[in-house]
Amino acid sequence: MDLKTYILRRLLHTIPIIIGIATLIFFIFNIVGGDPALTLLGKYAKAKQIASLRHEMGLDKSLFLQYIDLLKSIFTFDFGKSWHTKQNIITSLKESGWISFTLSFPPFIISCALSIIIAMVSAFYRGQFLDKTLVLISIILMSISILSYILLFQWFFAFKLDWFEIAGYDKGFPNFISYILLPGIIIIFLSIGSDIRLYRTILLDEINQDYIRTARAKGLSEVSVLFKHVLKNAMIPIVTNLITQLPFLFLGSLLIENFFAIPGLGNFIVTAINTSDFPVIKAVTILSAIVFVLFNLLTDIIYTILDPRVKL
Amino acid sequence: MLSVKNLVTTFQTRQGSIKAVDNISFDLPKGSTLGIVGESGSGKSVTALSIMRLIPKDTGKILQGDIIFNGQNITTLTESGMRGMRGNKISMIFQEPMTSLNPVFTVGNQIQETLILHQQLSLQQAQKKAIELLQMVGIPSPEKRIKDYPHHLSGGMRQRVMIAIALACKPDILIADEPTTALDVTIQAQILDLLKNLQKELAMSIIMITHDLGVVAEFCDDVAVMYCGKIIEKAPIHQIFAQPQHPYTQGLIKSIPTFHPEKSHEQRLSTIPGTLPPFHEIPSGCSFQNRCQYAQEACKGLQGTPPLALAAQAHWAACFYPLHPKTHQD
Ligand SMILES: Nc1ncnc2c1ncn2[C@@H]1O[C@H](COP(=O)(O)OP(=O)(O)OP(=O)(O)O)[C@@H](O)[C@H]1O
Ligand SMILES: [Mg+2]
Repeated sequence: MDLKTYILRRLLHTIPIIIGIATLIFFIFNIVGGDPALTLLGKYAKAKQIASLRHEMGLDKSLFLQYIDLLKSIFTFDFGKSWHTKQNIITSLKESGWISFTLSFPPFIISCALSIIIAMVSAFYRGQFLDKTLVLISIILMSISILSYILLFQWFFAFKLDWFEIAGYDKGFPNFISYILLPGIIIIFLSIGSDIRLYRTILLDEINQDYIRTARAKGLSEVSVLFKHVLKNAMIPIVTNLITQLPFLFLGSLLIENFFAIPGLGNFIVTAINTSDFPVIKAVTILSAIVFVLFNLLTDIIYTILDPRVKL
Repeated sequence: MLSVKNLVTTFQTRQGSIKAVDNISFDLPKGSTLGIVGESGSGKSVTALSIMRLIPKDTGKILQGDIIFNGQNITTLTESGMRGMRGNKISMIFQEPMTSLNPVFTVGNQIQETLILHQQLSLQQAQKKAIELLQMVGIPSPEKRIKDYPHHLSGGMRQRVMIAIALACKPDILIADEPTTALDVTIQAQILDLLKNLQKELAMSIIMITHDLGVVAEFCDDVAVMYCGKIIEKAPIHQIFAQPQHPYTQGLIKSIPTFHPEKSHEQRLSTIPGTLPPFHEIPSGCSFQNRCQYAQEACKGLQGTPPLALAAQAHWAACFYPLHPKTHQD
């Protein structure tokens, strides 16, 4: 089977999975959960108010019709309007998701490149002073809590040195950069420690393999052994790990967006939960499930490309 | 051609420093084959890796000794000088054919790599040569096989590829570390035949590491028996089998399974009692004393470790009471 048929087949397989997820979500929201109209209006609502709200939400339709509506919304990609902002949900998600992405994607790339390079240096000097120092630094970076980073960096770099904006956001093109720099740097600090440790472990695992000994027995230098034989094998788990992190770039970091008042997806979702904005919550739940399914598929595809042992 | 003198290789372990190879010496004349036999853990692979200078740096090192190859002491060679030897003048094939090839590169790529590195061939030349090499080691339709990944091949085929890689630059010395242990019997015979033929064709010396005396009998000119990191007996092949001097060697020879249906099971197969002691529990005196049926007071350390001494002509044994002593005079 070639790669195209494989991808096509896997894509077809995701359809029943997505329908399954939608069914589960429908079950949770419309059957297990209480009546959202009641929740929204509170204990003292009048029957008439409740009835009109239920009509507005489509809750007076039969369960079957509501279920069909949900499935339809997945395939038409139309989840209606938010109760809270009255905006089209997809438009808002796109807007805030993009903000989250511009905030977290550059740090992701930088931290990824840095951590792979540092892990390779560490693996090259394994057991020696430099390696031990790097391991120690990454453990320290990992152990510091996100809140300490935020408070310390805001106070020192933004307040004391006045290099960056403390918080806030501006959607205009060059302007927004000055707002995402500081949170971006914090995101790098947050992920790089554990990434270095993970990649170092993966690399050392490869270095101890029999085929690496063969490569050395051929007379290859330690650098070519590392860059050719070790890296190509290590790339399989490393890339897999990176792809599983991708969906989170859109979802954004709740705490960071909150502290820096960045109107990203994380913030958007928290607001929706606080205001019981059911259509938004439902749309986010369904869409994130779909995104995870698709990225899983992507991981599998990349895996088959990287690893010749995997049969399609 | 190759001469190892007083080689000591140590490892740092949790129980302290161990001498995995303890003061061994041997010569390997041009075109000849030396067998190194011994139980698991006796230091055979460490000897081989010491000659390749591939002892893991973080835990092990060559503590003393000289390894003279073509008049050059390779223990003092620079790392880059040593890289020029590996895979070029001295090659090695390993015990584990299933895991010794890199799974993410094609067989062709892995053979070409050596040729490009040591002989500065272009990619096309290297490709052509790789096909010839696969043909040489008896792999059918080599022009197709060079595009295969290792997982497409069986264990025997992978070991043939390893041999092709090792012999790509026509080395002077091939170290074969239990090349057939992981393979089934018919494949074992094929691989040994192949090595024998290639040895004649390329006029190379071979160090054949094995724990199978049957392989030694068929393949080698001389044999060195290792026990706890030491060579305890060293002799031309016919002499070892005819008149073993060390009780351990005798035990090894007796434990070769033979086909004598008329004898009972016990008569057919004997074993050496006990096991190899761990390195930090090696007794003083003769390291074999606890398992030796002939052991006497002298073996227990008062007279020190028995030295490797001439017990008969060209026949060395590290035993105070060799089984077939014969001096030059008689
Ligand atoms: N990297 C290492 N670190 C610590 N000890 C080691 C290392 N490599 C080998 N040793 C020790 O050296 C001793 C000899 O090992 P070696 O691999 O040479 O045995 P061997 O004779 O090849 O056995 P086998 O027949 O199982 O291959 C063993 O006791 C082993 O524990
Ligand atoms: Mg071994």
